[in-house]
Amino acid sequence: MAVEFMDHAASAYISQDKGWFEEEGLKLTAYESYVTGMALASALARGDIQVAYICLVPAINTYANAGVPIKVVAGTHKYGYGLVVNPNKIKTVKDLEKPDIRLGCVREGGAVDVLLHKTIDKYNLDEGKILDSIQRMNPPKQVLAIKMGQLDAAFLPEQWATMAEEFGFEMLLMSQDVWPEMQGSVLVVKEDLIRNHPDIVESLVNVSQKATDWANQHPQEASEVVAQQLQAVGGSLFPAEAAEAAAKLEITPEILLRSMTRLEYTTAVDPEVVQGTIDYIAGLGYIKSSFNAEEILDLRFLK
Amino acid sequence: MPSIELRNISNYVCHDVNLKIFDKELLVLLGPNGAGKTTLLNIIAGLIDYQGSVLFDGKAVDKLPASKRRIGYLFQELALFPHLDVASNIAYSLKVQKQSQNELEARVDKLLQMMKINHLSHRYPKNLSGGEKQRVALARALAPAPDVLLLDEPLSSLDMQTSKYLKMELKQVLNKLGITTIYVTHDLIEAEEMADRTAIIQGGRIQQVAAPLEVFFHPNNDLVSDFIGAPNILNCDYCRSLGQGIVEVNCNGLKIIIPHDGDVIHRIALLPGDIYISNTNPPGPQMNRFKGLITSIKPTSNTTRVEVKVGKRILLAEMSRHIFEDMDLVVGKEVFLILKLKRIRVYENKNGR
Amino acid sequence: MNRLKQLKPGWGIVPVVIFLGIWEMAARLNFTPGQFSFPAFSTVLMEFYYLTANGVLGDSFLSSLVRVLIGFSAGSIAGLVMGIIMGWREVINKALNPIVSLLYPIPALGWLPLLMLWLGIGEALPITIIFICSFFPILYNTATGIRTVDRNYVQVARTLGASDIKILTTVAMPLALPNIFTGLRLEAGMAWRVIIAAEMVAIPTGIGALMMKAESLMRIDIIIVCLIVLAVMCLSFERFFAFLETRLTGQWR
Repeated sequence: MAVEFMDHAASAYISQDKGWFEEEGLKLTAYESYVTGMALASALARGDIQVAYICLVPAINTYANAGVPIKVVAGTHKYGYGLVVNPNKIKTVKDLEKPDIRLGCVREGGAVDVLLHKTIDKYNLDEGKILDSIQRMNPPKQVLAIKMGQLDAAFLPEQWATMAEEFGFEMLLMSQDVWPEMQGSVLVVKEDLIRNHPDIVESLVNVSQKATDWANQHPQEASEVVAQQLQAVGGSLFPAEAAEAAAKLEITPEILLRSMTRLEYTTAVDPEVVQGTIDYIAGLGYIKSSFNAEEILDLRFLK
Repeated sequence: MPSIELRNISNYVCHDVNLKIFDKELLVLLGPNGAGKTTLLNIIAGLIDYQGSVLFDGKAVDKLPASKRRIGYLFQELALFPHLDVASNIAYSLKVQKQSQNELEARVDKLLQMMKINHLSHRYPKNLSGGEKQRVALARALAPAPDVLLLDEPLSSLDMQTSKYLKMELKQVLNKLGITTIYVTHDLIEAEEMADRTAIIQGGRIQQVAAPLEVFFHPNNDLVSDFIGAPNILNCDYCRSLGQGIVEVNCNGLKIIIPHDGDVIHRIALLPGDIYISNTNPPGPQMNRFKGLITSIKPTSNTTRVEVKVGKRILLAEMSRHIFEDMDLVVGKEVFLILKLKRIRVYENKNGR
Repeated sequence: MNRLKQLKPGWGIVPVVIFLGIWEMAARLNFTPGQFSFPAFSTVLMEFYYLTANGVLGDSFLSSLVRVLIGFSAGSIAGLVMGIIMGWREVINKALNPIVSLLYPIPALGWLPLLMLWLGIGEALPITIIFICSFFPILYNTATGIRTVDRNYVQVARTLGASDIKILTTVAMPLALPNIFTGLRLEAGMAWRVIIAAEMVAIPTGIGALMMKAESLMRIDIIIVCLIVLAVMCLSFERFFAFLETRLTGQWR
């Protein structure tokens, strides 16, 4: 199993903490954290991981570009991304076009990058100008850069977006403002697993559902659990380049509480939204051509 | 007026060298390897440092750099420029002096003609034979019409045939041009054939300066005579032509038959290395063989010198050590001497030649 | 024997064709590591066409090319000039050699972090890296080439009346050309490898940057297209200098 190092994967972290995986008879032989969806995606493609909590967009890339046979079996949340800015320099979205603005964003292929393009579309921004001012780096690096005053704005996933607020930045836009019904992360499994062990998949979905419900009902406790898990995981499981950045940032329950309210935790997945996403990134040229959402969805385990 | 004079020349190789070379003379600088011959040439050319004075026509040239001394220098290694073809090599000095293209071409043609290498003008040094390279190098050295010519062992790297041929041509060219020349070699025969005078140099010092035969017959000191090799010199009391280019001479009772065109022979000389010793009388015509008794055996560093009494004379033979060891020779033993005909040097006048 | 020699030029193609054939088959039959579906050669070709048609490849290539040309030319010329000076004048060589020996072994990419701080991310950065990557080896090769010219040639030229400068330009430099060209040939290819690496790490445009984008999108076909472009450019540059070398020195080498 692999997860992203964000509160997008809250249900996984909660399940892990509460031992719900074992309760359902699921033994995890590996539990890996990845800083970005793209890094997770390549790990998925390399072969060892069978289950992942991963943002939708990298999942689509894995399927369409790398040809890895995966299926989305449940959602984890909607939304959960934002644009944070230095309020002194940027007052409106249009200000992003200004020539000396330094804008942080993850690499192409991530959900955040897609959000960036959606933002450009919605507000009719000058694409050339915006793309020129982008500095590509992963979320922890961006937050660190914000702390050091090296960025003026950044598109970030939660919980990183909320963390930026600690350093004086303000959330100018949330994914809700730009992309209604945006699918956040999803739970994917390898096709083989569904075929050979459908019972395992069913258990997985059940556990996710349970964790999601619990998180919605106990937000305070949930934030504490996730904070603890992230902090614990952060120390040991980071690749070297992110470790340094992450080590300097503290992930506290208060931050997480605020962050998690900006997501909508639900296991529901809307095939139309998925199709819309696929078509959009095909338009951006990330995948060669659009395909039917059904090919990547297998929602029979959701009740 | 001497053309070149060396006064008190010293450096780490040469010691107190004083030498006068006359205008248009061909002086051969003769000596064993390491004697300082090339060093002396380099000093005259101005390529290395030295103490003392070099004068051309009475004027000291010590302050002049090599590029201004107007010498032609033929290196032992030749050093033809590999990246230029033959014509460009020869033209190099002319180009450097910024001569006009026409003049340059005319001069190069003349030199190619003189050295008989017209057909090579566009070849590159890597495609030339040894003899061809020598000619090109000489042409190149002569191109700027130097006052002095320095030749460092010009024939040492050539085979016998080419060397013989080139020797003749060289002599012709040098005679025709009349340039003061210093010719370095370690080969006696070359010295004899080319030189007006010979200067023997050994251990960085000039040991003797005289006409070659003078040196040959009257070496100044042991160093010189060791180098020359102590030839056997026989005065001929009597000589008679047998017709068809064969002459019979009688030297101190030894009858020797020699191929020779004239009919007067006063002296003959033979180097010890050209006399062979045999334990038994070898088969073949009984000419130019003598029976004798070994009177002394003297080993040197890598040869053995054996003196043999033949009639009234003692002849000196020399052989390599291991041949000597194979032969089992002792003082008092009777042996046969065979003279190598081709190497007998014939002198018609009383003074040599 | 003769027949073998005649066949040779054409036969060089055969192993390449076999390799491409195996690639195509392996890709279609999915003989690849992990669960990646490795693109077939035909897919790569199509992507090549596509990227060229929409200008992406052209833009990236041009960015990288310009950087290499400027950096390499500047670095080579500077290296040649310094190399000639250092090779010809022993005094200068003795003075500068220690510094050069210290800086020469530092791999060009090792300068990247320092330059990123000093120059920031802009065109100056890759061009400077390429400059450094070319300058030192070419300086070294030129100086060595000039220094190792047989002394005899220099001496002979002196006796033929040439001044020091004349000897440098007419004898030492031509004879040093083989060494100089070795440096140029090697560094031309190296420059491309270095620019790609620099672009991958720090710079948003160019072939290297394109490769990184492709990596995060998991577009292996694009990655392969970039690699092919890189290989072709390395080869072309090296071949160009080899050709120039033969032109200038072939007759006497």
